[in-house]
Amino acid sequence: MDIYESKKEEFRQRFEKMSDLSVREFCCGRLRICIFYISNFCSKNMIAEQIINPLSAAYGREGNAFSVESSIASASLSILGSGDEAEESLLAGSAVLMYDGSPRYALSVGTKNEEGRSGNEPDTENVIRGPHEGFTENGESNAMLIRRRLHTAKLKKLNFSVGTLSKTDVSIMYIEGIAREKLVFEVVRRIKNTDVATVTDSGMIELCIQDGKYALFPTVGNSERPDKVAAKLTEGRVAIIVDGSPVVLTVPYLFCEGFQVTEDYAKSPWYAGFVRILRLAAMAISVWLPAVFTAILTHHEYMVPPATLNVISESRKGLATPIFSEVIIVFLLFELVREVGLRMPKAVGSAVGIVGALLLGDSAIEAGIASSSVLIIVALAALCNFIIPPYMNPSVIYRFIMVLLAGFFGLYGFFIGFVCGVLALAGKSSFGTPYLSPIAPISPEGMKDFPIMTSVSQMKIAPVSITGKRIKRTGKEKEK
Amino acid sequence: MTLSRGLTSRQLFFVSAAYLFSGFFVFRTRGVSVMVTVFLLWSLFSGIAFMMKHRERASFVRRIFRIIFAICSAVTASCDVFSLFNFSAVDKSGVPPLVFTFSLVAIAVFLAYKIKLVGRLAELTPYIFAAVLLTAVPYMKASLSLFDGSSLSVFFFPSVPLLLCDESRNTTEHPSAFLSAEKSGLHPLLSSMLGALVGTLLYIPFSAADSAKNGLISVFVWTLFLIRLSADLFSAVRLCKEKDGFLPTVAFASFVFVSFAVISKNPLL
Repeated sequence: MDIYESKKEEFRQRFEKMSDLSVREFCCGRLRICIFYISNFCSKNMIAEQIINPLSAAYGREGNAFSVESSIASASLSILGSGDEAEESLLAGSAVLMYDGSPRYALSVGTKNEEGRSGNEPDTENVIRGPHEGFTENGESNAMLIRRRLHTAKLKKLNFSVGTLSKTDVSIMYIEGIAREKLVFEVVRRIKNTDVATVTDSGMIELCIQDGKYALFPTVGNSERPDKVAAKLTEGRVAIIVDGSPVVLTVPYLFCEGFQVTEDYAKSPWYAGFVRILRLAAMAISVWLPAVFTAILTHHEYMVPPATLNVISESRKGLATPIFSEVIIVFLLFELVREVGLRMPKAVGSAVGIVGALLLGDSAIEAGIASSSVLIIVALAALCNFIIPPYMNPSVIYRFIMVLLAGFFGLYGFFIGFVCGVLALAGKSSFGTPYLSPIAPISPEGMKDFPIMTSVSQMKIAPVSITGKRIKRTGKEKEK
Repeated sequence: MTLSRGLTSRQLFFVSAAYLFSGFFVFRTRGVSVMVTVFLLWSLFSGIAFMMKHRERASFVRRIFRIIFAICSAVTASCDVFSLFNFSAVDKSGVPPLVFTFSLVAIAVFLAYKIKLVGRLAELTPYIFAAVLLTAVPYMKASLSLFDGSSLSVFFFPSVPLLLCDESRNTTEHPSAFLSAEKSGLHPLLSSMLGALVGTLLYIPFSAADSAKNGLISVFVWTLFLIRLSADLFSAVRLCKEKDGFLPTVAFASFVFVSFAVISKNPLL
């Protein structure tokens, strides 16, 4: 193997398991030329116009003795003295060019794809401060958006094809050395075992690879934000990109992630911590308050202070239905209005809102369908439900079960529902990581980010429950 | 497997705290002397058990201790079950005490085989406690007296921590270096004792609280009691599985049989 070949091979090995690395080899007479670039990160047109065409033209004009450096038609050309420099340059979006007989290691040609914001900001994950960029339906572009934020050769990408009919491109991305090998293996195994005819969205993959076929709470995360996915990769997670879907999946997904918002890390830890507690309280109110209310007012009225009980009794004067049925009816009405609001076109949305307000407002009270106290409780629970979008749907089901148990069995029913719910979450795991980590089991490193958060500079160790070992985020080497 | 058997030292801390706190609550402990005695007994038994578990050779003393511990576990479990019948919060739970007790025992039996789950539930109790504290303030009143006595039943429990200590040494769930380091030494024992101390101290402001008047306190105490009952059953089952576990098995089975026989024949229930 000559110097050119060995250099080329050594450089290629640096990017093992990186399916988006492209290598273009061609010859101008006896001169062998090789161009390395990352798909979509570099502009193929620029490579053709600034490198391949000029080199071919120069060879045609000058024959064998032409100079490669002077033939390249790029404003950004630099000489790379080592493999590390070449690696850095490639990951920054340049094309790396090697040719036979070159005294230098390689040349770097600035061919970075300079497209601006590729996708609109996702509606589901708005932020005031932070990048307003979202994924698109193009899987390759999505991988490029992630790679733009993580300039490291350790960011690996593996491609698969899923769906017997659709043959949809599915790729996984992870950072080698941070993501557990077992986790990567498990993700690959589950994707390969996915047996469906067509994959129309990443949601289908999510359902196929999640832990438990009928899981109520999600064990696979999703996001439309490249910055969020990149941050999750640095914590040892694996991202799954499905071509045709703007939603990228991340695993493992832990319960605490629902309470973490990208913007928290750009705020003062004091305020971010306060908001986190608020979200936790909102979750508790959303799932448990209606059940406690139903249990106490149905079976344990003696627990309510007399003054409060009088107010509630006054508000329920003239109502024929017991409080338990009333809570259920108002809940169903609310879910009905919410579902209609989601499915209707935006133009009709305001009209639906007005009808909903009438249905669940003064008119309902005057018509004797519901009392103001129950409306307040249900509205508060519903409002709190919206604060944590990932748990919006499971919370509705769990809340409903809790209300039923509390209505039938009082506080005992609430206790059974509560314990079973907590135990179910405590026993759950996502791709081998305990679902309630870092609070159960406790992980000191993880607890710097949940339930309240410390300064970002203090989060020096990646979550051990995910990575499986202590890995310094700030340093290059692993901590022994 | 994330639910491998065994508790980490941190979980042991929370289980111990929950164990003592709920024990004091359900047995309506009022006297400081009782609480101090219970804590000292806990420490003593834990220490003996810890030393015994670390001896390589099976000795006669070790065998005797194992039998004593098994009987203690069985008696404690039975006493715990009985105590629910006199617990005011159970009387007002919305269902007959018999239904409450048997369902709680059923869950505890399930959890006794998944001790890791008990550990995680125990780790979550501080958060539940924080929520309960907000509603419990009007009910809290420190009014401990020195010698007003209380049920002797709470004295039976100290056999539990030893086995949990033992299990915590075998845990392989958490891969962190910290936990690997704590696998050896006195860490589990200290965690257990510290947890017991915290549980005892935390009980003081609640000593005069009537859990029957506050629904959330009731739910909290029931949750902790579930942990206690699961730990009792776990200990008993674990001891029965030991090489010389025939006698403890007979003891435990007898106690359970008698307990349920008495419960089912009680016309008041």
